[in-house]
Amino acid sequence: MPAKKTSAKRGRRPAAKRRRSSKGTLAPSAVFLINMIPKSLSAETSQDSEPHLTVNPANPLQIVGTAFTPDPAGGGQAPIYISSDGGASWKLNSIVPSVPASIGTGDITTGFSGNGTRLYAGILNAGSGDLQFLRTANPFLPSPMTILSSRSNGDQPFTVATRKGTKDLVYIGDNDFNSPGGKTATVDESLNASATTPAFNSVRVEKRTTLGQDGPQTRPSCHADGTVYAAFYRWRAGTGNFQANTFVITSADVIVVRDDHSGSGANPFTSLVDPGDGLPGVRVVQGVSFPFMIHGTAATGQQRLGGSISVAVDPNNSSTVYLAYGDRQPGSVLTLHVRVSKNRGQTWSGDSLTIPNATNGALAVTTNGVIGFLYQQIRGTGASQRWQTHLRRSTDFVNWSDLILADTPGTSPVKTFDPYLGDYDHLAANGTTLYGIFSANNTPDKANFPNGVVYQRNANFTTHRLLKLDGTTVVAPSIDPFFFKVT
Amino acid sequence: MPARRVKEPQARFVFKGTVQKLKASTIPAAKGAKLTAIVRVDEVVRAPEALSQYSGHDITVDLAGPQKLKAGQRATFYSTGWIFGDSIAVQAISHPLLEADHVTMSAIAGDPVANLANHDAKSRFDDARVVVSGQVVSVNLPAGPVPAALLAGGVGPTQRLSEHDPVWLDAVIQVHAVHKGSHSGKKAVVRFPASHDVLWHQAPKFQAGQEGFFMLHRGEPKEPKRQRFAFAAGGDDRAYTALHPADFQPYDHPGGVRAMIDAATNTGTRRTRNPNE
Repeated sequence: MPAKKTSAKRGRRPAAKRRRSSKGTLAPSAVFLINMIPKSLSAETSQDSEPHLTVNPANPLQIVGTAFTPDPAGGGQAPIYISSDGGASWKLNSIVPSVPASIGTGDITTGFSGNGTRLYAGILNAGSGDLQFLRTANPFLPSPMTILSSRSNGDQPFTVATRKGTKDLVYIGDNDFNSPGGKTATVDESLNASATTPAFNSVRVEKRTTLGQDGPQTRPSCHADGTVYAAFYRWRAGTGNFQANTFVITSADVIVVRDDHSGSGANPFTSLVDPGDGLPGVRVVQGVSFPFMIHGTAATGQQRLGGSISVAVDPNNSSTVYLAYGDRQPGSVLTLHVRVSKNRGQTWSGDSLTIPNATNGALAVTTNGVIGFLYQQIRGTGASQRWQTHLRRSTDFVNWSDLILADTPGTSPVKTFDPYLGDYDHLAANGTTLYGIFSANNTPDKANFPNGVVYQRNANFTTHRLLKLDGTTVVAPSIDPFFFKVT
Repeated sequence: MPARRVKEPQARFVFKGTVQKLKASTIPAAKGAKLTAIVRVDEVVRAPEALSQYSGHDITVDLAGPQKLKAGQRATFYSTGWIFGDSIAVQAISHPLLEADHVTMSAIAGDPVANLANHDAKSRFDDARVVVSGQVVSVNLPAGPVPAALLAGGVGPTQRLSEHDPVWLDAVIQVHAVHKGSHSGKKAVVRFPASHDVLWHQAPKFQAGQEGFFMLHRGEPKEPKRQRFAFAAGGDDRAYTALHPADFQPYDHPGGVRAMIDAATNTGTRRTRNPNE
């Protein structure tokens, strides 16, 4: 059996990996990283970028991942990635509404509510481009997800779900071009999403004038006590030609809004007022600049850039909230900044981390106080360019450990579409464990994964070759989703 | 288990197989289903690349539907994706016994990936409003309500920037011949998305000088909405679209559309017309 000889298990390292720790940092007791493409799809070469995941609060062994992955059989449902063993192994289950022979799905994010196996999703439908909100009672069964809501002119749905009493609460941040007055940053919320026909309320979280729209990223984060935060870019000025790939946002504000009652009042997400102009939403930073690219270039590691936003509330204290955002600084294509507020978003710290040439920042906080920050950073230039995927961790927001999860070529494979790695990746916390997902070059080379990796698909870590189902035919490298968890 | 409403011709993973065992599965996640069977793939008829190597493998098939099969019977399985793990499970849209499907399937052999490409081309040919052969003589910005603010680099109150902007362009085709449908004039305009964004990258990207067959569509279900997405002021609906990768076949494409045209001409159902005559 060729697969045995070429097994990815040769790439596995001992689970326990001790590292020197300093004050405020944690040595990981276990780092587990796995290529999520299953063995049966060893021949696949899709660009499986823009990943996201959710962990079932009711059963952390159940995890769902997503990416730009078409149905391997070319059918009319796009797959999600499912794991029933805490991420140790992954399968694909094709249940997302789509059209045959398509890309699978456009933007997609998911969220478990914590009530059994019920899962929610926000997608851009591959057939219509419509913004759709989906639900399934069990993502591990073959039944297609139910479309709860569908409309045109939306972008980047970012799904968060939780449970309060007997009701599922779902918050989907998106950029809604239907919103009047160019105030497009929106949180679509349903406060009883488990109802047979749930209603979604489009909350316009932008309260100020804009350039004509906000940025595509509207990211919610919720706490069990009913506190819900959301962060977005308010676009104020831009210059250049978007279609010529020279467009730059020359002035944007990074805004955080909050609701203290699960978004249930008459004016949701207006609890946090900016002391400067008296309007809802604190302007954490004003006047930042960054490129808004239609496609990636060699200088950006083939990845298009357009800002990066992440927000995460401390599960032990809803007054503490962390924020990551991107802007352009000298000598850097995009710089990520990580800040904290300990008074419910009213005032903010300076940078605890400042990461140049990086994107796809994602924050999460565990119940034992570990702050995790995932990002992808471009290193080097030309043929030696690399994409490094880092997980930084801290318990005091001062001292950070640094795990390099992947260090992969930046020029290979050549992208088949934008975004190369995705307009986002994701980090989540459940209990004391951080769970993450990112996309990267899948060449089976231990040097590319310094903290170890497991492959399900056929791979030879000696020759650094991917192999088809027959165990001998070579498969070209492509972009795959990788899952990790760190405790 | 609710059946998936997919028409048989839309099945993209089609194989001849032999039922090995009923109420059994090669993949644990499929064991909860009642109507599964282990089927040995004898020959892959058409498939995407990732599934083209499954001849000789046992896989799981959901046999939902009115047709009954017994262990040992051979059938043609028209299927769509379900679960992909160490093994795969697919859902059969239909599974006629091989003898009954003889007429349909006997002529198909060879590379299953090429067969799928030909299947797609025929499907797009059949669905097209007009099929022409010709040469792209120019590529231009669309006439009409072009998003001027975008071109100027600004963002106005009615113009929106999205990373999913299709970046519509018009390709002007010098028509050599009309092979299906009715088209007057020596030129045809095809609107296509120049964007390489995930939502649009599969669509043909036309360049001046390209020659071949163009399968032209109007009012495809997804096109109008996307047009609104990009052009808040509305688009020009006079142009044809070509959004599927199979909508353009270069002259040197083996078989493909030329064979379809020849077949249609021979049966007298279609007539090639040269608009330049």
